Amino acid sequence: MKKFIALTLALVLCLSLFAACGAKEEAGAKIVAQKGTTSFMYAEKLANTKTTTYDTFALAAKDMINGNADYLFVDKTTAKSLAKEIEGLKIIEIALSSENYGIGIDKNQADLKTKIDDILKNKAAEIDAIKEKYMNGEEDKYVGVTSGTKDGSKADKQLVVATNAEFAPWEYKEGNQFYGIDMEIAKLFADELGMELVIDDMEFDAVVGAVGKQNVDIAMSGITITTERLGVINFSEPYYTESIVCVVPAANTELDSAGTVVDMLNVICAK
Amino acid sequence: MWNEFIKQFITLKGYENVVNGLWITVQIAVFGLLIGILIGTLIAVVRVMPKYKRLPRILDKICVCYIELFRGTPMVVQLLIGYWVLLPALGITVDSGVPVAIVVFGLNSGAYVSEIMRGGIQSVDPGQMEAGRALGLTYATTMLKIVVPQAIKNILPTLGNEFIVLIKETSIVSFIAVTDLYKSFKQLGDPTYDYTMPYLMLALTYLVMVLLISWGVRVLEAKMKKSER
Repeated sequence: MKKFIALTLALVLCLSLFAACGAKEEAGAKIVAQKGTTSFMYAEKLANTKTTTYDTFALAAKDMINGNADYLFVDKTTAKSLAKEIEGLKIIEIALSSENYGIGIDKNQADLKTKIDDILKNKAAEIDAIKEKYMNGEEDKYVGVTSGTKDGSKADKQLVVATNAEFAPWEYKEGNQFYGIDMEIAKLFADELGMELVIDDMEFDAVVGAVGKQNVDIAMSGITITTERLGVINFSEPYYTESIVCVVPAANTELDSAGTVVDMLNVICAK
Repeated sequence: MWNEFIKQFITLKGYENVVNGLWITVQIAVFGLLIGILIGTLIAVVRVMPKYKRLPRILDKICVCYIELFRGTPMVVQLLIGYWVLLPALGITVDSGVPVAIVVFGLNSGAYVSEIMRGGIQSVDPGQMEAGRALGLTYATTMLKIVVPQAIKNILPTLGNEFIVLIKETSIVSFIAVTDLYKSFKQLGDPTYDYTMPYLMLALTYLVMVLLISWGVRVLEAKMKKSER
């Protein structure tokens, strides 16, 4: 019996040693992002870094401020919105990549894509006005959007929009109302199509996969058009061009002297 | 479906992530249980102490509060509070959420193990304690050398059960941004949004682990039974 206990203890000691070594191997810069986003996919490809994902960008930013990570990769407009809410963030104004936001559309509804592209073209002025007021922070002009209740029997009279309402200024919740650029555009779509708007709020990494299932017609969640996503859903024509930027804690000066993307990536990958 | 999974798992080296995730899951469950057994035994011993003096009475109250606190809140909430509230408040920074998860799982399972252990200690014949004291051993020696070993033998199946619960519950650590077994399998499905194979394989992996543990506990039990007639 004593032998057995001694053996077990020895094993535990070995395991702890292993664990300690494992922890040491994880050198290099630690990058944080929201799970399932293109920012995460970009960060994941960088050599000599470790990427951790969170449910929302806000949580990722909080964890960086708490000192558990070095860099946050996030879409530029969202970075600005985060910097307004969370103190101590510094945005490095160098675009790491350029990408197009599109509206995800059910592959089996070809006519819906035509209609949405038409609305995007015909109502361009109104859509630009919506973008403008959120980008400029004209809060008194924001219009809250109320979601209907999803009802399978009224599927052809409801426009069900999948979103992750934790991505200001594109979509976020205040009380029981949805706000944000995508939400107001979605309302415009529903009005133009003569349908009732239903907003289906879920995790971001579920949004794309949800389209075409459980009556979800379109996805509007600041979604970048990528080839992987095109394999699963259809996209509207792009309605915004966005870039990924790097955000650091305000006290971090490592990237201040970087003038180009290459300078910046050299600093990040050499850490 | 199957081909896509093979591509993600083998060609694109997804198995490396899965092995890492498996290792993290095992780490959290094993170290969590070890901390849990340690805390649980301490609490159980305190709670069965004779209570004529004031100190044991106060300690007993503290232990009851601890048990109620950890049994009364979900483990997810404990993890979230540990990582997002306590860590920044104490000014501690960590490389990953794994140490936090180990500590929270340890504290939580300590509360459950203490109750299991108390039952085990109380199931040992009081005559054992009396005999030990009559032979001139101190209370602590009798407890640790005579009563607790017999108690552990009695509660081994329940302890194995606690380990199984713990290993399955580790799937919640993705709440604090830890890439465990669940998340590493999920990432295999992310590029195609087809989670059929990853989730079936995830279930299979957990099942194999749990079957291995139950087998291990049975072997251990048989070994310990040798001292009985």
